Amino acid sequence: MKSLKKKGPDICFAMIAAVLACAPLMLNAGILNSSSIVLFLGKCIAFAIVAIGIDLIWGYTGILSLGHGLYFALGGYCMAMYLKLQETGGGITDFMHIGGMTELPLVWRPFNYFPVALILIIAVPGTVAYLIGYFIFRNRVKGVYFSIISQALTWAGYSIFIALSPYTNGNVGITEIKTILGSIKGEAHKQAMFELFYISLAILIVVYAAARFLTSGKFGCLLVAIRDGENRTYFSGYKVSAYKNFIYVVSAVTAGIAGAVFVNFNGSITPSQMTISYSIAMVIWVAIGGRGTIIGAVIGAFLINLCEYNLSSGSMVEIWQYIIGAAFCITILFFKGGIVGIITEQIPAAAEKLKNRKKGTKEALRYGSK
Amino acid sequence: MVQFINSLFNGISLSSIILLTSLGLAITFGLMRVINMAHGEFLMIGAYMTYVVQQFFIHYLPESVGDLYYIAAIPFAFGVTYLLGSLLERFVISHLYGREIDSLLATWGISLILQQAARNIFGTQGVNVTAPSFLNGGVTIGKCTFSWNRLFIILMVAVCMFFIWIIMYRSNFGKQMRAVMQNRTMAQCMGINSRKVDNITFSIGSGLAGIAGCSVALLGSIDSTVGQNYIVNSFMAVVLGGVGKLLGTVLGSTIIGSASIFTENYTSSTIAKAIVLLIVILFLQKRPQGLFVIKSRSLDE
Repeated sequence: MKSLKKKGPDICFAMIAAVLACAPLMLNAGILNSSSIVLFLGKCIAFAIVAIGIDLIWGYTGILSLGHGLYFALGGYCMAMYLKLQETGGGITDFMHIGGMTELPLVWRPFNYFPVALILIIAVPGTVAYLIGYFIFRNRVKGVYFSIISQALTWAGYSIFIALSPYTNGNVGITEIKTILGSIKGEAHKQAMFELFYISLAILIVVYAAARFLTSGKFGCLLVAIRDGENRTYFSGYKVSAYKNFIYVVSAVTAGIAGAVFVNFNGSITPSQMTISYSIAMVIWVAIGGRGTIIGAVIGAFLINLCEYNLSSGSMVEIWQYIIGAAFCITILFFKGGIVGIITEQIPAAAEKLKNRKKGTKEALRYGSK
Repeated sequence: MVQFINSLFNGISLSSIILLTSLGLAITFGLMRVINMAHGEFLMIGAYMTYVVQQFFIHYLPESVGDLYYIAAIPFAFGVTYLLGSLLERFVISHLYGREIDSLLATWGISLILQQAARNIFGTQGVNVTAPSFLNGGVTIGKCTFSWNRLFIILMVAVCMFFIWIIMYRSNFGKQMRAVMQNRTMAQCMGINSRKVDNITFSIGSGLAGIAGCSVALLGSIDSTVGQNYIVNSFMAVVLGGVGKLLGTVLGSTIIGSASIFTENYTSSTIAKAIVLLIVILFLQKRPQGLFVIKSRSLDE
C-alpha cells in the first residue's frame, strides 16, 4: 500500500503517456475520426509542460506567478520566428515589410540558424526570469506582492509586444507557420504530424522526469520548506532568495519550451498568449489538478483542456465560463489539493471516518447490551 | 505651457479614477489581507448599473427629469455593488482569511463568472451612456479647456475621499475598523465583532468600485472587460502607496496617473503605461513595502 502511494503518481503518468502514445495509432485504426484531435492533444502536451513549470514554482515553492504567459509566449515567439524565417529563407517577413523595414532587424537574425534558435528558446525566457527574479527576490518581496508585480510585468510585456508592431506584428502575432518538420496539414503529411507528436511526448516525459528528480531529493524538501516557513529556512542558513530565483528560472524555461511546442501544433502565436487571464488559466489547471504534485499539474492540464475542447462548441461555450469559474473557486475554497488531493487524502480520510463511526456504533451497542 | 497644463489636468483626471478604484482595494487589502481580483468586475457592474438606470429613465420617466439619471445612478450603483460585495464576503471571502494567495485565486474565479454573466445579459457589444447635458462642454481659462465631466469626476472622487476619511477617522465604526486592522486578536478581545467589521468593510470597498464604475461610464463605452483596464494600475497604486494608509494610496495613484500621462507626451500610450509600471517595479526595489509603512517589529510584515 505504501509503495503504491509512493509510485502511484509515476504509474499514473506512465498510463497517461501510454494513452497519448496510442492516439496516432487510434487515428490510423479509425477509432478517432479526425486528425484535429491529435493536433489538439499536441497542444495539451504543451499545456501540461507549462503546468509542470507552474507547479514547481507555486505548488512546491509557494510563489504564485501570474506571469507565466509571458515566458510561454517568449518561447513561442522564438520558435515562430525561426519557422517563419525558414519560410522566407532569411529575408524579411510580410509584416516587417509593412512596418517599413528593408532588411531583417538585428534581434531576429540569430533565428536563421536552428541550433541558435533552440538555445534562444531556453535562454530568452531564462534570462528575463533571472533578471526579474534577481531584483524581486533579493528584496524579499513575497506573497501577494510578488503576484501583483508579476501580473504588472506581464501586462507591461504584453503592451510592449503590441506596440513594437514592426518587429512582432502587434495584435495579430506571427501566423501561418509550418512546423519544424514542415507542413503537417492534410492526409499527405500525416507521418510528419505523428513524428512531431512523438517528439513532443518525449519532451513531456523528459520534463516530467526532471521535475520528479528536482522535487524528490533534498532540493525538493528545501522548496517545500521555503513554502511552509520561509523565515525558518533563512535562519537554518539557506540563501532562500537564490533557491527561489533558481526555481523561478527553471519554471520560466519550462514555460518557454512549452510555448515552442505549442507553436508547432497551433500554427500561430499571438500576444493573447501573454495576457494575465491566459497566465491565470494556467494556474487554474494546476489548482484543479492538484498543486504540489507534479502528476496533478499534468492531469489538470489535460482534463481542463479536453473538457474545454469538447464543451466549447455551440451553446456550451457560454456555460463553460461559468463551470470553470465555479470549479476553480470551489477547488480553492474546499479542496486545496485539487483532484489528486481528493483521491489521496480526502477520500481515505472520509473512509477512515466512516469506518470509525461504524466501529463506534458497534462498540456502543455492545456496551449498551451489557 | 498650455500643453503642460493640459497634461497636468489629464493626469489629475486619470489619477482620480485610479484612486477611486484603488481606494476600495486598499481598504480590503489593508484591513482583511484579502486580494479581490473581482474588484474590476465590481467596477464593471457599477458602469452597467449606470446604463440600466439611464435606460429606465428613458423608458419610464418624463424627458424633463432625464438628466437627473446620473444623480440617481450613483447611489444605485453603490447599493448594488455593496450588496454583491456583502454576499461575496459572506459566502466566499470569509473562508479565506489568512490565505492571501488563495483569496486572489478564488476571486479570480468569481470574476470569470461575473464577466460571462455580463456578456450574457448585456451582450458582447459595448454599450454607451450619454453624459447628462449639464456635463457637456467645459470651462475655458485662457487657452486651456477643462471638460465638465472630467471636473465632475475629480469632484466626485474628492467627495468620496471625504466620506471615507469621515468613516475611517471620525466615526465609531472607523475606530473599530482601524483596531481590527492593526491588531485583530486584541480587537476581538475588546469585544469588537470582527466578522461584522470585515463584512461591512468589504462591502464598502466593493461599493466604491461601483461608484468608480459610474465615473468610468462617462468616459467611454462599457463592455465586460472594462474593469480589467483599470485593475492592474490600481493594484500597482496600492502596492506603491503601501498598505494600510489612505494617504499612501492617494499618493500612489497620483504618481501612477500623472506619470502615465506625462510619459505619453513622448511616446505612445501603451508604451507609456509599460514604462510607468517598470519604473514602479524598480522603485519597489528601494522600498519593497511601498511609500508608507505601518512600522512593526514582527517578522512577516
